[in-house]
Amino acid sequence: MDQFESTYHQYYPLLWAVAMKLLADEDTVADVLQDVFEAYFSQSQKSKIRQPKSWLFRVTLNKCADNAAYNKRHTDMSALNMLEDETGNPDSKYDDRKMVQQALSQLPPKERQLAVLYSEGFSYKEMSEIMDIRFSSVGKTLSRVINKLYDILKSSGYETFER
Amino acid sequence: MKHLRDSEIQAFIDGELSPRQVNRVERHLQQCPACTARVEEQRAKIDKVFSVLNLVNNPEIKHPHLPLHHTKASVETLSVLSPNRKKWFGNIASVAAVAILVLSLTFIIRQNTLKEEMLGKQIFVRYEMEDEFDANRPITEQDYVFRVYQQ
Repeated sequence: MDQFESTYHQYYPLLWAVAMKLLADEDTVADVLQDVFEAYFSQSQKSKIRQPKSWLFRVTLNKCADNAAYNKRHTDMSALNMLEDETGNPDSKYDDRKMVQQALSQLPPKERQLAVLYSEGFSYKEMSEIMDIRFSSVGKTLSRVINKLYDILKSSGYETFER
Repeated sequence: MKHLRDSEIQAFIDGELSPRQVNRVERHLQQCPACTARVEEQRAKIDKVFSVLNLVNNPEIKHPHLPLHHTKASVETLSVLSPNRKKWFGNIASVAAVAILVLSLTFIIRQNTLKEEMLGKQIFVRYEMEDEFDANRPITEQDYVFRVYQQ
């Protein structure tokens, strides 16, 4: 197995999960990740990429941010309210994805990215490398992001918060 | 007594403090119920937010087609990554092409035969109302039958 292939297999699922939270559409995410790995391939031909993981995630986040779906800010939480009205099972995966994306879209772009990385279990060191922020400020920013997200989800009346 | 900062609480929960910092935080928590409550509150918030964010987990992963151009290496990579898709794609495309060709040919032939059948024959289609025709009601609400006459 060559370098490219093992990198692909190692990181594709995690990249997929991160991009999915930000874009909420399978086709868009597949396109974005294709671009990412094309860029990774051509970059690795030119010079050695020292930290493939950080590189891949940084590029993925940037490409997600370039995408139109990401920039659409949902000011109204209509989908959330709809879920609430159904009294019960948001088991349809698509609704969940849309719901998460809409809640996240209330945050500023950088905070949104941080929240997604955090929820995927990245360490502070990795997050600071990927996001290009100081290690010492990760905790502070995270604390703020968690509180904001909590308030957003609470005000939207999502059912998990009622229990 | 100096209370814990939000960032310290967050990092403490996430296990991102150095052993010495952890020591300091734990000592403080033993004497400070207010900060203990803050830690618990933050922990609960993290759990709630996680429970929603991770609704998106276990997504079915869709692999993209990797580019066929560029280099030999990427072509090899493609065939390793998705051997079946590449092989099947060609077959499906050719089957689809043949199917479309056959369908359009039958359609054209049928059209022509129909035209020939119709030539030289006159067909009348007329609808005939039932006995009780009420001129005050719309025609769609009346009973009638279609009759086809051929000459």
